[in-house]
Amino acid sequence: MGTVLGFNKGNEYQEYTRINISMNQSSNLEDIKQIMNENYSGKYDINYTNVFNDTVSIRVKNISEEEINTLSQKLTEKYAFEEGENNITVVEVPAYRTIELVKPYVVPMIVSFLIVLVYFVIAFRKLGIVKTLVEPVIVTVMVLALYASIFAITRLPITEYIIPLGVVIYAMTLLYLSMYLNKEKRV
Amino acid sequence: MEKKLKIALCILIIALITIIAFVGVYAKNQITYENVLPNYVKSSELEGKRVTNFKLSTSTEEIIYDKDGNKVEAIPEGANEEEYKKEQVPVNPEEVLTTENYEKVKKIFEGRLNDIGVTDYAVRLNKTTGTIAVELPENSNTDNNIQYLMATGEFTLEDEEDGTVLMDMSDVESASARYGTTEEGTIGVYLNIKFNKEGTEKLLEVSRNYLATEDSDQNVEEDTNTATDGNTVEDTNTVDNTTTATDSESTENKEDHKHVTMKIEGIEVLSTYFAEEISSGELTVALGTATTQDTLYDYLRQAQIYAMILNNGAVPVLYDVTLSEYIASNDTIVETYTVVAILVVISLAIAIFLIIKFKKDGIIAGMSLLAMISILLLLIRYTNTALSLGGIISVLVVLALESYFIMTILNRIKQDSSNENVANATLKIYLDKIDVIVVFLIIAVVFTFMNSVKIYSIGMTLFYGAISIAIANLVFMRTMLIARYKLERKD
Repeated sequence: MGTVLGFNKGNEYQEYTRINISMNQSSNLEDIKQIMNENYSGKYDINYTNVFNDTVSIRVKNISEEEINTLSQKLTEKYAFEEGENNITVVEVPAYRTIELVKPYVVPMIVSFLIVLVYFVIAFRKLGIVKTLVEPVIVTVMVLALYASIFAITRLPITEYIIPLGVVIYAMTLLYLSMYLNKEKRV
Repeated sequence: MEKKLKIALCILIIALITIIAFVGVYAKNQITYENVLPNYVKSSELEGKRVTNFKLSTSTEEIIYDKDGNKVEAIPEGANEEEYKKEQVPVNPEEVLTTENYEKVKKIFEGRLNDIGVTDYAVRLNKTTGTIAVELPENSNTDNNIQYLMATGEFTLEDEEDGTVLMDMSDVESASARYGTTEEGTIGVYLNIKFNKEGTEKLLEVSRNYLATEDSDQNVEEDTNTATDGNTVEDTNTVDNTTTATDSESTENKEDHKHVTMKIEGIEVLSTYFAEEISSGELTVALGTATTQDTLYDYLRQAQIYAMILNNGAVPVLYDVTLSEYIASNDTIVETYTVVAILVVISLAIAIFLIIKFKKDGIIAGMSLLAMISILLLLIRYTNTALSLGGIISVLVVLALESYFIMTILNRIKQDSSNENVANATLKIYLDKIDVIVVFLIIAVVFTFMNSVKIYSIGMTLFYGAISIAIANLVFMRTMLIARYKLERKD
């Protein structure tokens, strides 16, 4: 589902532009916000990057070259930046690929899943291969696929905690399966 | 009376542990009071990170050609400059600016970060523009780590006299840093380079061509056992059986043999000739002899950096750093508080549910739950477990397991509250539900042994969660339940 529809990545994982303004003195964030509001209509994050409050970082999405130039001009005028001082740096921060977000979790999930399956097959051998191997595989894959589908269909953004939450769901599914098989063994 | 005392003692200890875990222990430090508990070690997604932007280099390099059109490093002194032609060439020619090369650089960056033990990083690549952003945790190593990423990955074995390149990075298979005790009892640090099939053949050829001559064998023997360069001692026996290149700066010897120079990142690592032909395809280079822990660390670090560069190959495209700045994770911090608040609400809901369903036993179970969370927090603090967002969220799994155990124990006691059953219920549950514990531990252990902080944080939280559950249930809940039922029967 995710492959077909694609996922909506959260702000942190999307491509963005970072405008770094290096002041020669402590600055007031409100003044810069005012310049931003006058010259840029989109959403942005703004904060200091050090304790001296002389470097400000602005994070924006979808800003045009023209808007950057206007902003640079206004900031240069306001703070009397001298030519050649390079007080304003604009960098592009590339997006994460969805696969890269998931990649670190794949190996531990597959390895632990295989070990758990081997344990199920050995510990609950009396219940038969269908109950100990086929059912756990189907249930786990279905649960994870359902979880991924929710985000693909509803277009809910994939934020930092969505994938760890998927791991929690995976762990809980395996725990549930072990409880279920444990109960079946005793019947 | 004794039973009441036991219950009171358990409640007191739980209260104490909870206060310590959630509030801390404060001691006067000069004029202020400071929490003496170790701080939580947070991953970069919770703490903030250094974002470094790498842009394709647009700089040029000067190439000098002699009158025959051959490349030369510099115009020889006294030569007629007009006979030489200078040309400015971009360091990144058009043909190397491909998506494939950008991907290769990304992989090299990731490989280098893994090799130097950075467990918490992200490399973001724009395949169209080739721009790369690297996110690293902010600490005392961050600047060095960025420097390592800037390395070109250049490796050459050259003829010392005319600079002819005899071997390069394409001949290297792998490299590793090693150390071992020398015959003198000091610790020698070595860089072991393993060459690929083609490189092995080349190395054999080079070692033949740059072999010590018979009349200077004595000098070679002396050189291999004497400190040269002020810090290099050769000792082939204590490290491995591979042949070791002989570092020599002796002017006397230089007159006798041809020398090769090994350069990494354009820096000369050693100048040497060979005591014997090398057919093993491995070259062990002595980097220094350590006499103290600090020098051992320094030499070893140097060897590891060289190994890191050699293991990951040369970058096909050169980059410049455009911006490297610390970014506080304000959004993530807000999200983390939300997640922690949700966890607290879930814990409270479980406790209320237990109290409603099991009355007095439920109160004891609720206290056990509180003790479990407090012990888990203290374990995370004292073991310096790096806490990631995944680690925090995985507390949900611990809560689920603890709730399952508590419910099963209390249900059993509800069915049969005889002294024997109350005493055994908590213990027996671990034997009856061993399958659940095994599955929980498999997940915890596998995740703990992964490199990425995002992953092992989950594993360690689960693992310490299992320990916390065992302590809370076996020590506190069991003691209080036994005391409560004995007390009830007396009344």
